[in-house]
Amino acid sequence: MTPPASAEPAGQEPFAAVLECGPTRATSTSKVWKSVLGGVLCAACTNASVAGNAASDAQARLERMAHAAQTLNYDGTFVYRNGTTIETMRIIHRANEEGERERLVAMSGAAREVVRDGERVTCIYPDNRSVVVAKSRPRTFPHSRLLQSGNGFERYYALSVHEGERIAGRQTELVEVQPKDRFRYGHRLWLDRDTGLLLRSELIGEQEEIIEQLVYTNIELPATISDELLEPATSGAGYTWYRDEQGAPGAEPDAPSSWRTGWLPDGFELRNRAKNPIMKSRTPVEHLVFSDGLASVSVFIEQLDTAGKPLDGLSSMGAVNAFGSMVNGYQVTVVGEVPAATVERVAGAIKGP
Amino acid sequence: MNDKLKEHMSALVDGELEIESASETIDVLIESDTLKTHWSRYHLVRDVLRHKVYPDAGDTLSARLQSRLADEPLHFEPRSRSAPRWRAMLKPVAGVALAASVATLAVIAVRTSGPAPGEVESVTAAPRVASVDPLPANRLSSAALPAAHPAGAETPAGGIRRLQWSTSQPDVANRLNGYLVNHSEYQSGAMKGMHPYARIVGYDSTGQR
Repeated sequence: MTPPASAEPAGQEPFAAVLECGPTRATSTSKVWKSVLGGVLCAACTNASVAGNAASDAQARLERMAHAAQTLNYDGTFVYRNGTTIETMRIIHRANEEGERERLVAMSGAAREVVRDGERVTCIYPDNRSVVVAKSRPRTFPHSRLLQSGNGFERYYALSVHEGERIAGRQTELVEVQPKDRFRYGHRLWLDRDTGLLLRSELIGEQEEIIEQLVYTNIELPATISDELLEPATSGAGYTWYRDEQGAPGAEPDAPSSWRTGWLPDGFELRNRAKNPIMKSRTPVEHLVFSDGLASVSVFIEQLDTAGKPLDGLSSMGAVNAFGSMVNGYQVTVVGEVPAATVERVAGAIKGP
Repeated sequence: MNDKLKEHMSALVDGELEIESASETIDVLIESDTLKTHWSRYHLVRDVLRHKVYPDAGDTLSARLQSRLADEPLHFEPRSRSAPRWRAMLKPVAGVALAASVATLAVIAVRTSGPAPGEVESVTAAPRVASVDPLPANRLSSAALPAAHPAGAETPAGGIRRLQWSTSQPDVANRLNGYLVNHSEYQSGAMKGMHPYARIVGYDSTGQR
């Protein structure tokens, strides 16, 4: 692992200033997008027969993967491992004129599930009879600036494409994404050659260990998917519901944030801001999202009520790390699927108003 | 499974069983259809994750996996690419005795094939899983969300690992879960193809206190 190229603080720009050079809200028409997408797809197809090593090939494939996951109908089963836990899950995804709808269900143990559509994300936990409803964020295109080469993505990751094996009966290509510093994880992604869908993935840690992995055992691409398949198995009657859907979907606060970040890994920029109630928060929680286009960290700033227990230090859940601290009387928590050192350092450099 | 067998298995896992008793215990384990089923399930999941098995479309593997995993999620030690050895630390959430047998069989398999240093370590490190109480005796039905469990984390009895936040504060775990849902909504483009919600579906809330 090479030493970090970005050890110096990245300045203390106010978030508002960073926002100005950040992504604009998606305003492109579907026509424009289709032509852009067409170009990407053609580029991917042309190179499909030869396993090239150019970063641009890999980027085109990642872009295609993200697009396929959001625009295709699929119904598949995969084995998922995070940390020490293994689960089998089924995912059903539909994309039609009504938009996207997705249902992810645990097939072992309690039937935990997440149902997501254009308006909300519903998380169902039957084992303790609770339901959490959060707002979903419109997945407008272009969904990512980061994969565009102008962003200097290859400065932070080494990318390569290789021939992959057959997975769930489908031929794959392997895209390897190796970070160039120790502040982000690596990825090995096996993508369906025909559709671009992700069929197997490994999240790789600093010691080359596999932190999280996913392998499809079966996947189908049905022309249509019925509403029934996308309905949760339970009505949630008798469950405790937590609704975080108040406010306009994806609304960004008008006023610039008065919080500043003193340090971010090289290439991380502010991508989004939101201010919503989360769980039983006393006041809306300020949420800032920073990303290098692939890895991302969220900074949550919340005023705890008097009974609220703060997180002071690190907490982990498999691949996800969170670091909490109290700043100016607010609980500041940095969350991301990045190494523990990254969330800790980001959290340690947050400055209050 | 009787207590004596459990005791033998436990001793076997710790490498403390005399060779004669060990042979008898192994014979019993191997002749049990139930144990064989679990043993084969263990192999199946392991092979899928080790990429030995890539069933063609239409194969019934996922159905088999589903039925075999329906009863108990499996818990493995993390695997590193530099040491791609499956440790024989199979730990069930339920049906402890059966899975303990599987763990024992896994250890036996390792030992009979000639232990490498790491494998010996896995034998000695294996807890006496046969006696582990897998679930907290008093599960509260509080309205709180998936709550905290000292994390990473093993029960006092030493057995179960769950996908949970490493914190002893249910409050904190609840808040982190809410954050994780919101964080997942804002994943970057490419990450959206990687099922970020698997982390939420995989979250284990059974350890709530």
